[in-house]
Amino acid sequence: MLLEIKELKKEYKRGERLFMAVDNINLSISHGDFASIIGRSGSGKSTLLNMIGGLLKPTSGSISFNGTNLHTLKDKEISEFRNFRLGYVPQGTSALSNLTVFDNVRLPFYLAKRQGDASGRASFLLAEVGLPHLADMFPAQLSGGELRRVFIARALMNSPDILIADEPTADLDVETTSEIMKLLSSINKNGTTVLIVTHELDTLEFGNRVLTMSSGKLTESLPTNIKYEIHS
Amino acid sequence: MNKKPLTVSTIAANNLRRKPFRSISLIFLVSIFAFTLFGGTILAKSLEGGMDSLSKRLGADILAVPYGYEANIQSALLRGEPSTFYFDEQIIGKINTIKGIERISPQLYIATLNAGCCTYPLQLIGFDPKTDFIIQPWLSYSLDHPLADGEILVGSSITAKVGQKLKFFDQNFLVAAQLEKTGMGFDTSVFMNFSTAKKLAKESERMQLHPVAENDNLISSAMIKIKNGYNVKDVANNILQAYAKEGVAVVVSKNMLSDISVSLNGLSLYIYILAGILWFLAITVLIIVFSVSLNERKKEFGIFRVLGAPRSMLVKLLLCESIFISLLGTIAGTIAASLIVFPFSTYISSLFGLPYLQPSYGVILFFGLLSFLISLTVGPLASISVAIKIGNSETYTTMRENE
Repeated sequence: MLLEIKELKKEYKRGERLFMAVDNINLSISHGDFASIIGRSGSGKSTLLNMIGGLLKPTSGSISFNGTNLHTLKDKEISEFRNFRLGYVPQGTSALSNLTVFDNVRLPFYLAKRQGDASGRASFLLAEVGLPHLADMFPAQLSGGELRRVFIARALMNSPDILIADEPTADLDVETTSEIMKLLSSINKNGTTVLIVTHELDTLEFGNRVLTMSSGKLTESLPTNIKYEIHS
Repeated sequence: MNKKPLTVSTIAANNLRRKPFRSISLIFLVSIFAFTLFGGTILAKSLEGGMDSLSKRLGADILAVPYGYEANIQSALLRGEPSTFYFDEQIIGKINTIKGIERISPQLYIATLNAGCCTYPLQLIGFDPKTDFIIQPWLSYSLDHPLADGEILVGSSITAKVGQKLKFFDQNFLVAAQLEKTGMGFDTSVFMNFSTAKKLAKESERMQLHPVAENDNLISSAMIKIKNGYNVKDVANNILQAYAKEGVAVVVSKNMLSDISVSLNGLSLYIYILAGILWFLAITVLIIVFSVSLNERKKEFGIFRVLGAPRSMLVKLLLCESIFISLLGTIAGTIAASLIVFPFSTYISSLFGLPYLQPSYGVILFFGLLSFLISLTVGPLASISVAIKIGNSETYTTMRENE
């Protein structure tokens, strides 16, 4: 099992009241899965994803990655985990505006202080996502769809075990959404586990698992039933 | 495509380059501090050096001058300011009868003029080479002959070489030797024997009347050295008691030096206070700027964390940016101070009106390095609290705060 989540809870304080964003979730993700988490805004999807990414500490419960409980790790260890094992595409624009597209993609390699041909790998990834001609541009010069491709390329820089993307197709037109999903699907077919959060039901067909979040609780549905369940 | 490896320093340099106005403003701020610190320190040390040189090598314990011109002799000695005051040379013989006097030597201030050699006014001074114990000890090497008529000694600030001829009042004079740097008015003075000085005074009459041209027996001052075992104040009082009625006044060197010392200490204190205020100001402004930009940059730091940067890397990035700002500001400030303090030292010394002797290269280097290190602390000190704040924040919260 690649990822094992047990009795995971996350509580926030809203004024004097406690708010349960993630409520006692259990989940297992295997190597090679392509899982999509859907749900309404505020249902706790992003909170769950950020806890899996080691960006947010749970109130209780555990997240194990290849048998290691993430939230017992020290800062340096969890940083290494994010750098080596996990490719993360955050919600919205997550470009470093002072670096070129090429440097944005190369950056995770240097954060890991790895030895090797970072530039070669970055060029390869930019070609894979169809943007080799934009390497010297700055993020402000790119469109929303191009930026998402850059973030995906950056997330794959250190060949992670799992790629996590928080709403990778938000604000994109239908055609670009389809291109991004095809890209994620091909990444998954090449052996990388993919976990995404999405609002768009049309994207679910690219994955093999669909998880629905509602009021902090997670349930698993069959991809074929999901449209009916959501609408009813 | 730039394929150079990305390091903390290249990322920091990129961040500064992409925000030129902010970066240049901060660098300018640090440069003002570095300018004040380095320039001010060299200034204070030069004034201290001038004072030290004056107290160690002035040579005279008492200066006898015409009554009412006590301040003028100080101005002439310290700054080479115009001094034309005279009394009869017979006073030398009279004062020499006072007990406790070891040596006495007259000086004659002829004129102050602008000459082609120099951008500042020159003081022409006559002295008696046989009795002199004030001027000749400053010679960079001994003369192999007594200073002849038509020969001159020049101060260290005068751009003339030994053997060269300088023209004053349409007369040529041979430069026989140059004095070492004294830090006093001597640096911008030209010295000659009495007979040359008197001849020059007569030549100057073509332009305006000169008392020395009318009366061959005038001198401006008498430099007096006291024998060991005698009290300077007692001897000065004895001179006054005996010759005050003949218009003689005295200046005790020690008193003059202690007066200068007081004003010098005050000036040095002001320089260091100003540098301290600027140091504090620079750090405060940088703290404010870093804090404000931290809010703008929370998302950026969050992205670094998402990509696997440990907290320590963010701290290093911030420190690196602040060190670059400090470094560039310090270099700019130090160079600017050097371009002003060193080439214009003569002008600065005349501006302050105090003895001014630039320290040796070793001392300049030492204080240069010290100022450099102090200026360099500005950035890291200013950014450390922000860096700690960033290091302690949770990544997800950091990213969401700016949305």
